[in-house]
Amino acid sequence: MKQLSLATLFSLVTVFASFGQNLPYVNHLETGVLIGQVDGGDRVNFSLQSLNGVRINRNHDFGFIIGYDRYPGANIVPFGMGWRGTLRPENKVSLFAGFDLGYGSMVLERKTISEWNEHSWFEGGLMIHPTAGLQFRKRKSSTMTFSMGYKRQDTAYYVGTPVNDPWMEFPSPANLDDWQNMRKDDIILRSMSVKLGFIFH
Amino acid sequence: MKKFFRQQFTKNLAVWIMLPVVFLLSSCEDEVVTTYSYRTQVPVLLKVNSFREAEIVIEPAKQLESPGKIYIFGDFLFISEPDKGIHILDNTNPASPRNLNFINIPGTADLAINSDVLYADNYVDLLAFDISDPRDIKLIKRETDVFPNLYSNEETGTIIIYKDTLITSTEEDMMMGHWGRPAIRIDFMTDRAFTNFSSASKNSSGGQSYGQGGSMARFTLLNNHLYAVDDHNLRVFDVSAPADPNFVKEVSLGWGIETIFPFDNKLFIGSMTGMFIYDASDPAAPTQMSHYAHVTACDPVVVNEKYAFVTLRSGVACRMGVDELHILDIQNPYKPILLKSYPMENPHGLGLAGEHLYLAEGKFGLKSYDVSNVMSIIPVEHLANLRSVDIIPGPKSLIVIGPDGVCQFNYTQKNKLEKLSCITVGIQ
Repeated sequence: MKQLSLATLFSLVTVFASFGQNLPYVNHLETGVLIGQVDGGDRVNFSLQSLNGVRINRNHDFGFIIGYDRYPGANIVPFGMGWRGTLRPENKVSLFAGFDLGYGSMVLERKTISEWNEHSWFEGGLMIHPTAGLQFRKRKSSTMTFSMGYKRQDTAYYVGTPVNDPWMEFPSPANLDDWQNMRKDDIILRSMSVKLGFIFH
Repeated sequence: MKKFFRQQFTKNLAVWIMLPVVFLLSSCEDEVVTTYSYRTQVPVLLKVNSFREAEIVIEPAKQLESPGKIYIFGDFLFISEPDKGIHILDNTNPASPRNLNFINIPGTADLAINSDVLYADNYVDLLAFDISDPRDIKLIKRETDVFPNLYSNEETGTIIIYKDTLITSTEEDMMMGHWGRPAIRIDFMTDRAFTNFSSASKNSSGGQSYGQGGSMARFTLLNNHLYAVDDHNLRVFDVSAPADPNFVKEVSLGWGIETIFPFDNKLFIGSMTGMFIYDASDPAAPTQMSHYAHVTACDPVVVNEKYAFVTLRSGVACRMGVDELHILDIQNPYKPILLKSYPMENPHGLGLAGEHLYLAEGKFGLKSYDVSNVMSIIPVEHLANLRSVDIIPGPKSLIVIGPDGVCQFNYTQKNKLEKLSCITVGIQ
């Protein structure tokens, strides 16, 4: 949660500070796959992301990111802040890099309670996503990007049965005293990202 | 185009070198670290000598933590703190009870008072205290080995008690049991919190005792005899000389015994399987008169000359029960007849004061009914915010016990309870 609030705060401050300078709006829409290994097998997951921000100068874009990553078992909504840099924006083809930092949220995952009163739920966590690639300028206001990167997403999965206390209204996930038994999986999802995108400005 | 790439490549050599390094350093394999934690009860062996030799100390007043049974003795209230001891409160003025002393009795579950003598269990022993002056309490007798079911080895004098423990581990071998869940010692998980939220009589009440397992006795007095029930047995003590309790005999009752209510030379025993009626006209040898079996539920009982009021409640420990109040005709104690059942929310203890029935509805509050016509009882009052477990209609006040503390009400006006005082439970 700490990571979440920090990321949100930072991105909001940045975005608002940038707007204050009356900088041009930029949108970077990307889609692609996240390739990783799970239990010895490979996984290839769909990923979509949008950066909405400002063009700080001809080399740098900065803004708020929000996305959708479809991992096996859970759909994560990462959000936070992102940077995009272009080495030679005047060229038709140029080196391109990006860095996203934020929180992978589990808003799409529901907490479930089984017939046997077994509760299970996900918790989101830190998301880091550096990328590098090429950009191809098509028109004045639109550019295509191809990038590869490394995406790290921390999450946790909980399965627990609350203690048999008739006075307890809702067991608190944070309080171990409320649980008869609890299993917590601290999961780090590591993927190689391969993405195709468009920058509109 | 070729030229362009060559240019870019040499200019940005560092980037191109860094990129594969980034990938190599962090192989793209997911990592899972699993932590298991569970609550269990760890057996602890205790030598009987260790508590027999230790002096029973009368300590200064302590805050209530999880009050169990309450006993009214003249102007005083005796409130048990299961496993820990007994609080003594001066209740001369029910509007402001004063906390006097605390008798430190480890391993205690229940208490009973018989003309200036207080009985309490201390693991396997029964203790008798002289309380003629509640400000100066003395231990007068220890009847040993009367609750032998706690023994793991009687010859070496070792008893077994269970301590609540939280175990946390990342070891794979914790992954026993079904579907990868940690194994749980179900055998030690009999939920004392539920079985002790039981009973319902003038001199018996429930309370939370999230504590050691083992069998906890519940006491009652009738015709110079002290009756103690645990999960399976009824134990009879002769207390015709109050200061000298003597163990008489043991009667087996089956399983899941919860409460005992004495009335008119009979013992009404509430269990998870129903209600037993025992004839105690020969107090030393109670005999079973009848067994009213109903759906399995946790059920306190109160009785008057004609009727028995039994509450059945659902709950995890009470196995697929229903939430109902049953009214039985017991004019023929050999053949109790169910007259009517009323749906309730989550009824626990009951208290009967003349034509008024007070019913503790757990977290749904406290209710009162006019039961002058048992075929059509009339709801009178509902204090929804008063979480309650049990009720004692005392001579000065109606005492209501709940997880938040012990409250007293003036109930002279039957249709309106007037709050006198509340002793809140201390923050642990």
